[in-house]
Amino acid sequence: MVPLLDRRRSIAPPGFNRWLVPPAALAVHLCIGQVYATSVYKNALVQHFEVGNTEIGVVFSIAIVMLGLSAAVAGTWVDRNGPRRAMATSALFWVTGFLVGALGIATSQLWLLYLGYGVIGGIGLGIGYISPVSTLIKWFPDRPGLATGMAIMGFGGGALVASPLSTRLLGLYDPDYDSSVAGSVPAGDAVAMLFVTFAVAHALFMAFGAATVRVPAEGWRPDGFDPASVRSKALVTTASVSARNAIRTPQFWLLWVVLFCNVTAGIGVLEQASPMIQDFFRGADGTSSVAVAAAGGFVGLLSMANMAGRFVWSSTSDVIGRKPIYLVYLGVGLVAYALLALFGQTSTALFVLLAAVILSFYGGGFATVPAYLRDLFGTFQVGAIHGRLLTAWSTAGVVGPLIVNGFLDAQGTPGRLTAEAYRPALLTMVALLAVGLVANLLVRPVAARFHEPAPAAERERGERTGGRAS
Amino acid sequence: MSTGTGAGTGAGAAAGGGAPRSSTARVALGWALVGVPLAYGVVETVLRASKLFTG
Repeated sequence: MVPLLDRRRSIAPPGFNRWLVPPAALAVHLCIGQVYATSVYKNALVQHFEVGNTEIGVVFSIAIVMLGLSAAVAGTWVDRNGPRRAMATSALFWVTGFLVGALGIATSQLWLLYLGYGVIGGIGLGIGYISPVSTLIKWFPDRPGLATGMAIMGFGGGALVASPLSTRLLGLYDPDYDSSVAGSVPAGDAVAMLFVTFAVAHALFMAFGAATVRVPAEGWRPDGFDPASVRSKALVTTASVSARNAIRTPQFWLLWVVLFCNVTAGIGVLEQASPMIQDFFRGADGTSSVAVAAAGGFVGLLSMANMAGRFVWSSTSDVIGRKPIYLVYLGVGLVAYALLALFGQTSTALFVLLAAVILSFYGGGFATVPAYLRDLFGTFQVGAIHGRLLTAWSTAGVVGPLIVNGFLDAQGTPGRLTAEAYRPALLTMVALLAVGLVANLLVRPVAARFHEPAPAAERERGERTGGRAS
Repeated sequence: MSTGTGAGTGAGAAAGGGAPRSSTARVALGWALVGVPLAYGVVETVLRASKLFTG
């Protein structure tokens, strides 16, 4: 145990500027968001290991499943030990994952890549993802949606940074690789070098996050903030619900369904973005009016919508409330999905607009859910509850691609599909969003029998802050 | 919304009363550290996305 990482050592001194906490959180999320940029070197790994797309795709799937599992299992530990130890632990796993993965590539042992990037790195992902969330909510009780939106935006932004950076570094490590030439694939050794580079850079960046993050002292609140203004809002509790009790409430499982449906629907577009836009505008002669480069631009635009949605919609939820914003994500999302399925092929602009709206809601759903949990269960163990809820993400990460690929495989050959082939998959997503919409409508305040007795919650807080509970 | 230093009130704020340790410069440096790579990613992505309308 390193005393420097103790929660008590990270309690903010008087006068600490809370605006230092979001960049600390962003430093971690920008690094772990790299997981969404794996497509850059996917072909290189396929060629290096001489296996199919599926075997390499499994690495990403393992990482996302481990993200959900580790967030669920380690959530209580993160809440108890504070963000600094959590961020340091996340960095240790994430960086080790890169190094073990690099060893696997360098020695051509695929199982080491699974173990390194998938399992070990995935644990770092889960702990890192939830590490700043409850701390941000406590620093920004007046704007929890804005605070978590800023951090979780970093996870979306991580891919935006890692994707072009990886392309440039791969070109540096393998002079024969030219990303502008179709079919050019970097060597496996270059990917191994890229992993080592990320390990070093991310270690430094995440160390900055761990060193900078602070927890507010017990009883702290922002200047001019009146807790009564929050208490007066519908669905916002002042009580504390433990993580153990939270999973026994219908509200937790309704939110689980909401997140699952929202993420699955987003993955429906994300998973197939590039081929999808080409297929939607394929003429009778079999050629698409959307070029490959333009399809790549579409993927970039969706990444921007995903990232922007995390910040914009989550911040908006502070104004209009959590339940109404999810009605927008699911209700308007449902209409957008139906329009995409039925009329998307009529205009490229309409197609792009609808897909961008859907992806902004996908990002918004991720970023707003910690604040929704805070509203329903209080700040007591919100990190642990959030961790458990992320199993919905893992499940959606498996189910979403299965639905899309299952329907598309039944429709015909990739590269020859048209808009009609996508309709069953997209309409299934419409139905899923309808299920999520109903689940959100059913959310009510948590029953008092699940609340912690006030003295127990206070005692727990006192232990964590070195007996400074007031 | 509180937009100042966030020094706040309560047990922690009352305990010391000295000058804020975290200066505006530290906040600016922290945001620059994460803002610069993020801006790089956004610019690269916008350039890539522009191919949707030009390519």
